[in-house]
Amino acid sequence: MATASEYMVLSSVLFAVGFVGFTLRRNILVMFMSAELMLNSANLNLIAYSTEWGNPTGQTFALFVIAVAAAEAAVGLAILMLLFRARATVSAADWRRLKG
Amino acid sequence: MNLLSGDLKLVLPEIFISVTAMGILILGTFVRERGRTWLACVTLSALAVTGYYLMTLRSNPFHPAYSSMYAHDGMALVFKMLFIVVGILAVLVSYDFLRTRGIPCAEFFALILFSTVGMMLVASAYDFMLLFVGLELSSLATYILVGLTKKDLWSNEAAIKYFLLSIFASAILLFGISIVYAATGTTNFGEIASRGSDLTTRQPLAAVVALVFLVAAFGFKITAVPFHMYAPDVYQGAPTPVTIFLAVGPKAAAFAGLIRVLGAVHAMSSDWLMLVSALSFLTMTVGNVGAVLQTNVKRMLAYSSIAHAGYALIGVASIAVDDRAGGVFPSSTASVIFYLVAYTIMNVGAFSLLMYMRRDKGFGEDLADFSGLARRRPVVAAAMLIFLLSLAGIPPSIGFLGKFYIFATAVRSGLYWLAVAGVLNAVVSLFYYARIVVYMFMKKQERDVSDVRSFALNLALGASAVATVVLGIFPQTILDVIARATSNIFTGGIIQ
Repeated sequence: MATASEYMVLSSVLFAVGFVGFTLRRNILVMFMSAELMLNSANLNLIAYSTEWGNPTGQTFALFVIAVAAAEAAVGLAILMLLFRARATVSAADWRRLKG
Repeated sequence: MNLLSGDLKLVLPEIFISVTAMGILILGTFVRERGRTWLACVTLSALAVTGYYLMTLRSNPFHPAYSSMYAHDGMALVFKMLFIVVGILAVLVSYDFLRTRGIPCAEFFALILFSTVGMMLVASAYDFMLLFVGLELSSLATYILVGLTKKDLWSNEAAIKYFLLSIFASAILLFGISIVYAATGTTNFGEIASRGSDLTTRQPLAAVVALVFLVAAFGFKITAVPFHMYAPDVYQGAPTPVTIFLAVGPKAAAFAGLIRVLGAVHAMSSDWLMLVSALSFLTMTVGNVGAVLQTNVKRMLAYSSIAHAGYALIGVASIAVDDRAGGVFPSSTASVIFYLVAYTIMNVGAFSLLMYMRRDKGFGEDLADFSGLARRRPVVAAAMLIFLLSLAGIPPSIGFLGKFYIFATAVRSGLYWLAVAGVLNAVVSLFYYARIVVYMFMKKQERDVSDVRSFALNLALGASAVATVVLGIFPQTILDVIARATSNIFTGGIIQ
């Protein structure tokens, strides 16, 4: 049985992977997936420490986060579809009209 | 059983606006575009009724509702009133814009209402769970609003940038929250505040990491430097009515959230004064320098709104030191809220000016489009002059009083260097605000632009112009309301 602090290590690693993926990759879909990974690493923390502290707050919170992430995916992928229809690319590097 | 007893009475505004928004979505499928006026009237009256109801709610003493999830206090009420005003102004400025661009109005009004509900929940959040859900609700609606002009590549790009960076910020916020939960075993602000102080000694690392994550995430939402990169792009690319809403609504909501969260976690670490002061200094300076370099007025105002977030952060830093009211001066929290009110009024005015000139595609937003405006439309130019003077902080205007109270608060709290930096920044900002004035009043017309005439837009512009001047001369009523409201807020023992 893993302890809560081991989960903390795991979730920190996942968060770091997501963070690096978001900042380095230029594919919008991959950036979105990286952000989801970061959200879920926080979820892992919440659930692990919910058991550790013996209260259901963390698990409830994680359910809310899953719902919010689903809503975000719906909106985000809709925007991505819009972009793809307009320019047939999902690379962030191709979207740089706005700058200065 | 009386349905309206107890806690339900307190969340009635949020419920009412949500139900109205859903009703508008359903109604919109029947009335289509012919019913635009009807839908606008329904939206406006729903907001007005909610505003009236909020005024009848009594706010004292601090009352945690729904198992201490939901804070009902003066600060929440004042912020909610502000969001209602923002919603009303957003509907007014967008009314004719929606017609000329062929944007489905039912969706637009419903999304404005949903976003308003989210912001109201943030203002009342007394638990990280409600705070997170409220922030997400208000941002989800604004992602769609930013991308609402589907054929416009600028709007598309702004939408994806805003979306990606917002979820990035949300993930950082959530990870910060999960660390706080791991360290304290609770997400309730009151309990965190009482358990936090011994945490500093037990787990100093967790306390500092959580603080940095939380401040960074809120930095994104209030466009603080170095988390501001997306703001100029998004504000420029979004449809102008959405820019107006985005620049004032979610930013004020994030400040409400920041004040609440810092009240809860400040006991965990004493480093946040330093963090917030550094953010404040960077935000003011980078915002103003960025604005000087712009020739597109919309982008210039976007940078100016970043700078204004920096001024408001001075007030947030002062809360850490001293939150008492002294003599004629309001408390630090009250000055921040007063500044946000001033910021809202003058920015709605200045941004809506951008919708008065039309050029082949879209609006005339360049400095050159403003040339000769005073000769063509003297009243509109005069209104812009009022807003620019107020943004620059020149009396008699609400912008001057806002800055005055913020700087006075900083001096009282001993943050002299921040006050000096703020005043110097205000001087720099004069330069680019004056440039617009020069173009409007002293240059001949350079470009062929056609005028936009819209009653609803005039109404919003006129109301904000009058409010800028009148509240600048007689601020006492609104100051009293804010001071009374903030006298009993929960700040987790910051008031020593």
